Amino acid sequence: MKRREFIILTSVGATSASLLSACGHPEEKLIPAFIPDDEFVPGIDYWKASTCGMCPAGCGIIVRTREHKANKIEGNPLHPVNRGALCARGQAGLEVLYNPDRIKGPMKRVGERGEGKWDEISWDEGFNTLVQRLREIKEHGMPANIMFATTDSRGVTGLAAGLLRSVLSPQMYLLAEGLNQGFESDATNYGRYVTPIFDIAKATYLISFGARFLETWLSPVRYSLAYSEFRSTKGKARGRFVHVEPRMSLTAANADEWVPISPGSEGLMALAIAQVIIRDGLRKNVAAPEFLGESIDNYAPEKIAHKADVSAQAIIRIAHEFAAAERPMAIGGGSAFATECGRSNMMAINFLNVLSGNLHQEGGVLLPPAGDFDPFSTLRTRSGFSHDLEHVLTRPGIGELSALLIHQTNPVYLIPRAVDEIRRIPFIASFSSFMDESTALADLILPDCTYLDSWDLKGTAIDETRVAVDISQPVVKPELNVRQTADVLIKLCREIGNPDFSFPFESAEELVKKMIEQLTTQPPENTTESILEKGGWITEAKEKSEGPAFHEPFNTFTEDTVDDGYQFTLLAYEHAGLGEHTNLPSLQELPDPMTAVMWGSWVEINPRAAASLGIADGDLVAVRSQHGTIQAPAVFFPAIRPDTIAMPFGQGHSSFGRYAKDRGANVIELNPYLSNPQTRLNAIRVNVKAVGGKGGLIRFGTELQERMEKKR
Amino acid sequence: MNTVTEEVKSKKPQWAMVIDLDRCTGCEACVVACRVENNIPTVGPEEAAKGRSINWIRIERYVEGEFPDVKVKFMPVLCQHCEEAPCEPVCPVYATYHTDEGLNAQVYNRCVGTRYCANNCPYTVRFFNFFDPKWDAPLEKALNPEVSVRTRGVMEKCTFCIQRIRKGEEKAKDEGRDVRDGDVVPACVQTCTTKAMYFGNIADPESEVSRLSKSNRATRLLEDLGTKPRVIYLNKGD
Repeated sequence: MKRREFIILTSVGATSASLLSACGHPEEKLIPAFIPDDEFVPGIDYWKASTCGMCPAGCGIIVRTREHKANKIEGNPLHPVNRGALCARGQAGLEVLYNPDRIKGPMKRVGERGEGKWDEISWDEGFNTLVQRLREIKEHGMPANIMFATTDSRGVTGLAAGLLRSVLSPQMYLLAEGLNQGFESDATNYGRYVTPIFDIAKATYLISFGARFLETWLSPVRYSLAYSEFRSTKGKARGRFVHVEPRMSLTAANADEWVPISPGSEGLMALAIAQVIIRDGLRKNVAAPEFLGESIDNYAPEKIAHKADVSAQAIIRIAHEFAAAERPMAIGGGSAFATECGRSNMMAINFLNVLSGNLHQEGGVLLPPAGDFDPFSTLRTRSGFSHDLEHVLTRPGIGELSALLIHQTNPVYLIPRAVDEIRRIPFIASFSSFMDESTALADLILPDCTYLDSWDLKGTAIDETRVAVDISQPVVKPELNVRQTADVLIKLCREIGNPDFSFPFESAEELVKKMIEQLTTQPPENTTESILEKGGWITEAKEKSEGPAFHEPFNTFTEDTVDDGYQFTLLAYEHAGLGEHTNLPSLQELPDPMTAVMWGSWVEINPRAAASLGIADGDLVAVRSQHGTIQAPAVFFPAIRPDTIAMPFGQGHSSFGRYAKDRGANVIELNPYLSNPQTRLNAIRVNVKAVGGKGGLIRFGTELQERMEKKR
Repeated sequence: MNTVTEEVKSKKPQWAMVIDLDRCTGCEACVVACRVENNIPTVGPEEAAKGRSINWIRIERYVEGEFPDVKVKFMPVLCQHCEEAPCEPVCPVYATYHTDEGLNAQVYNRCVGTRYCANNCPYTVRFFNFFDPKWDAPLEKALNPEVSVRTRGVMEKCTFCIQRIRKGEEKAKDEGRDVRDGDVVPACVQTCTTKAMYFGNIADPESEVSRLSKSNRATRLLEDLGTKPRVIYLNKGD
């Protein structure tokens, strides 16, 4: 580890005590930079280890601080997931911490709901209001339909939310919903709901059906590093990579071969490959289950070629390459999953892995250790997270919700059709750090710390036996009047819980430190301080994962498309830079790698298709679906099917800070069911037409035309 | 393919970068890492639309062919730190000059903003500050104290993270040895998600950049111009 000596990790133990106690004490914030701590030397970098919170992948980070300010985030070279590397999002993390639009302290609504009039209040007042409102609901014998919505069902927030559920009401809903769930991170079903680990590094032949593993799929940095090894020629042949997707994503651009398949037919192609492997006697795993309840010959390449719009010869060739490879692997996600027949597609894709016998093998599909690698497993009550926020908010007959507690998610943006339902909820409290659309409707705001100034502990599976336990800890003193939501929830439980409520911890900090003490083995050098310095530890699981209990693929493949009056299928994809982070200027101004567009939404359209509609590059176009219409500039993109258009997801906020507000369009408005992975996520049927004029497209670099505004 | 076979001999380190295009995925982690490390301001949508956004390193894309036989290739482009840099002789005030460590340096205080250097750079990696940089408070807290913030009217560009070079050199000096691989890691190289970038002393025959620069995949950008770039690209594999 070359960089190890380069990193000076501060001894967190001594300083961290003061970190949290500073929370909410304004006197501590007085000129902190001029009062050095005992161990603090001006002009020297102090690196603090923590865990990246920009997506759920769990990369280790080290943060360079000086004079009590954080000035750079890098990947933690000791962390097995990202080994020192970090993606564009992770690099932009300091703009979350120092974002000018962060909510600076507790606030209560004074005007009408959504009017945007707020009074700053103290934490005592804010907390007491929350206690009082929830107690009223509990004591008035109302059906306690209280919803806690979060993206974070793991770690301390999930733990605290579970406690709240146990003291408040069995009818309380805990919901985990965000862009990452169900959008790109499609955990494939290997008999139980686990996210497999794909050993891309050791594979020799990789076929990806829509899995954009170099961008936003599951764990981009981990799989980018693996891809690097996959391409390496050191002591092995360079791996060959085929990518199947209707649009050329950045991942597809890196493939040796891009197969622009008809949207939604990915599973058919996988079955056709399987059929060739079986009929030509090429399968490696003789025990591979027979399947479907119908003959696989129905899926012969010759029969599905027309529908998939991939030639039978190409499918046969790919099947032979796949079967002949030493360690072949198939992965699926993105456009293959997020469609009506997504589950069937994933089953079919996984069937290729079964045929090649690569489960539990080097260069194949690995399953994370069995059992719970949640560091708080001994403390959890019922977790009971439902994963379908949309369903609860829009299900008829659920009864009125009496309170909505929002944490790190934005239901108004994600589920536009539930806005009226949300507005009717008598009490809304938000723990958000930013004034997003949902927080704007809140009655009470009790702002959370960001991932860079809070405590947490989460497990990330490394391989079949090892789990990395990642610590999040404050890298600088919190400067705003914010409190970690987990701490607030624990205190809330104590206030409104039954007298017999006993939970031995007061705060996330205490929890994390106690768990480190309990869970780490004890060579003498392994003190809590030394583990905090490293940012985590690796634990061996007791039990290796058994299985897989392979699910028989089932056929829900759609019938041939009928003419529904729509010309295009829209692929809405999570942008590697933006996604949930459109409120960060560095990511807004980061040119999209495929189109060079910055600061907005765009519609990728094949130039030939555009020409037939009289659309020129940069023209403002209206994209209309059955459910709505949005407008964005067209971008000529030669690497997309003529019957498909694509739009990045994440823009189109009516509120979310100065960098995100009123910028671009929200794709979800075209399909209110979008946030549910089971429904037509990427199969939105649309028409496109020019509405006249240019769309204000902003592109970086050489394509920019020099124009003189006035003749001189 | 490697037409320039440069034997670099120097007592001082000669800094060079190697970028393996077979591994670069175009993810742009380097672009953001560079912005954060080097205090590069965002200019906002209105100015960006006028071509005034600043990226010391950018991802170039090359689209070849027509649907369905399309190829898109990525190439990170930064200041090539040319040995025969076209930007240097045109500066009337010697604000841009060549250091004895092979760096193409820019003295901000000397620059009067003629922009001749940008016009003469074949790689278009030089950027002009049309305005004083602005960070909405408290974003300025994340500024790197080791890198000066450039004011209105001066040119700027990639420095190979000179602040990190100096730190690495100081450390080697403290330990009474020559610099070696790993002492100096620019921000882009550090964060690279596929480890496609290498940085080091090309005058040291043992260094990784030295070794890779002799690869038969090695090539330089627009090398027929005779600029002798110190950024070496390794072509895509088969």
